[in-house]
Amino acid sequence: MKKILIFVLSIILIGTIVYYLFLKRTPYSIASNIAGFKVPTSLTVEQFQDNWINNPGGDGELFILFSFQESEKENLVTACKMNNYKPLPINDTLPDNFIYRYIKKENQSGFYKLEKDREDKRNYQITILNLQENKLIIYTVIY
Amino acid sequence: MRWTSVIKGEIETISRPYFDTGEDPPGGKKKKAQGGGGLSGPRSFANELKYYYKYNSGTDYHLSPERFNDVYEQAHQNNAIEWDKATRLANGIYSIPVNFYKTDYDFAFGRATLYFSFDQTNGFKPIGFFDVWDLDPKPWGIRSIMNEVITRYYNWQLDGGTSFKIVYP
Repeated sequence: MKKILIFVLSIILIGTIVYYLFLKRTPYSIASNIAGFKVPTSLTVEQFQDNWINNPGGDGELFILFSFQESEKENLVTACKMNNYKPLPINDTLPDNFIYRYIKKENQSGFYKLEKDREDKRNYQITILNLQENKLIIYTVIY
Repeated sequence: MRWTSVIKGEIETISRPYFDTGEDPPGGKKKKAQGGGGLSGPRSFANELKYYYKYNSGTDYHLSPERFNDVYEQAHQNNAIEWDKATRLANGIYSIPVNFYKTDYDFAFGRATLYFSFDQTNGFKPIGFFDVWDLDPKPWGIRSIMNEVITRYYNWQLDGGTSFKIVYP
């Protein structure tokens, strides 16, 4: 009986550690994954929507809006350059206008990275570093 | 709860294939047209789409007018149409995303696109539907863990199937 109890407690403990170390989904962990560089936790999360539908196709939408201080600018710019981000304005055609609620089309101060799905042209993923308003924007939509 | 319903749905589809083959059933005339004419429930319809993925070589799936109307009504009644994300296309038609999360069509479509015409007299009128039914795994960390697990499960379970477009008209 005691062995079973120890076994169960061990499983729970290992599960908890694995969850917090590798699986826990936070705005920072998601953003780091998508942006391609570590997004520091010193950035402030202004908006976070993580809406997934759990249907077979895995459809859903993710939006994170960070703000940051002047002191963080240089590191973020360096990270973008190292990850081959393009300079703003966005010259690619986007499948929808959602992102333009958060950045002006004519904004030329910053960087962006866009990934479009080849199979379904409505699917895309974009990261924008807006140096005009000191915002980092992450958006993904999957149909 | 969702995961349980996924498993139950799977067992149901394995034991009872019922997507429309275009032929009359033995002993009577067929009741359904392709795209769910005769209107099975949304869950049965979702299973129909799974079978279509597995066996129909990527040909487009055409919604029947009845199904299209039902989809639109469900979306409309559940405030699933994301009007604030409307995009006006070059031909004056509006493309508007729909999040079926709160509707009975969540399992069938997830997110999809409805097309609307607009005029001053009648306002917005639904005229079209588009979705791609695919099971593409993404790198871990983009979708939620549960969402990615479900997609990968179906990708493995329906291995050999081909993605297809769902269209109306």
